[in-house]
Amino acid sequence: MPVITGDALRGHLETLILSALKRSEAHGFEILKRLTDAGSGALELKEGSLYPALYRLEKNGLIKGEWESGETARRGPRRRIYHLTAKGRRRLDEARGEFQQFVSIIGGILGVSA
Amino acid sequence: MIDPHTQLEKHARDLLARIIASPRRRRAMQEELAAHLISSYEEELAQRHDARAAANATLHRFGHAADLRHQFQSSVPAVEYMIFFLCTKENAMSRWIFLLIGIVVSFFGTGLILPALAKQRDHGGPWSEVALFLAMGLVITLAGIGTIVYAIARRDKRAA
Repeated sequence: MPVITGDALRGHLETLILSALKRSEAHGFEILKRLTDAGSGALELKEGSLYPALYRLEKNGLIKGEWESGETARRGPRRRIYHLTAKGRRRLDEARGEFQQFVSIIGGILGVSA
Repeated sequence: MIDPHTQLEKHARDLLARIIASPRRRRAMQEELAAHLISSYEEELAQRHDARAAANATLHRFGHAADLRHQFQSSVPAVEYMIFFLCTKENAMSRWIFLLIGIVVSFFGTGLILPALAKQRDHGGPWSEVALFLAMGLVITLAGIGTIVYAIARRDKRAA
């Protein structure tokens, strides 16, 4: 199976993160696992790239992060748990529509069914 | 051999060391990255049963430091970047920027004081008419001089 790497993922990573968070809140490592599992091994993302994308999403108010505490906390450095905001949910719906349109147009030109 | 957790925490610290951002943001990023690296390492160790191989695989998964540094820097808000760019000790340009700002502000302040004094000299009249300009000019000029002194002090501190 061909692997989708950094360059091809660029521009989609933030939407993929929003989609991964739609199910439930998660920390960075868990988000990465969700994306990897959803991609069935075809997504090859440098893990460090996830965090700048998370920070951009947080800066734009699409997700919100909070330090883990209480029962979820573990020994060592703390993790931040991210969840979608209402704005993030709306952006995810918009991005899905935009992507569907993109696939439909480009697919039509290339002669492949979406 | 260094404890792998310590090594990974150091990797996170080194990766972010040259990022221009508030210390608070940098500490938060550092802690989060260290937590991620440790989770990756534990996953790798469970598969490989070799601490060194697991640590190397973890760093490979995480990505090349130079590429990531650029991405982390671009995630810092522009205003915060500007503020801490000026305040970064390592930034050789910053003292010149402070010096320039100080000179411009001082000129602006004297630009309020001197016309007010000239007006008073040429036309006379009560001082209360020009007092506001003189006071504002004085405050601004002093702020400018203070900035110049700060810039020079930074230069001397750096040289020491």
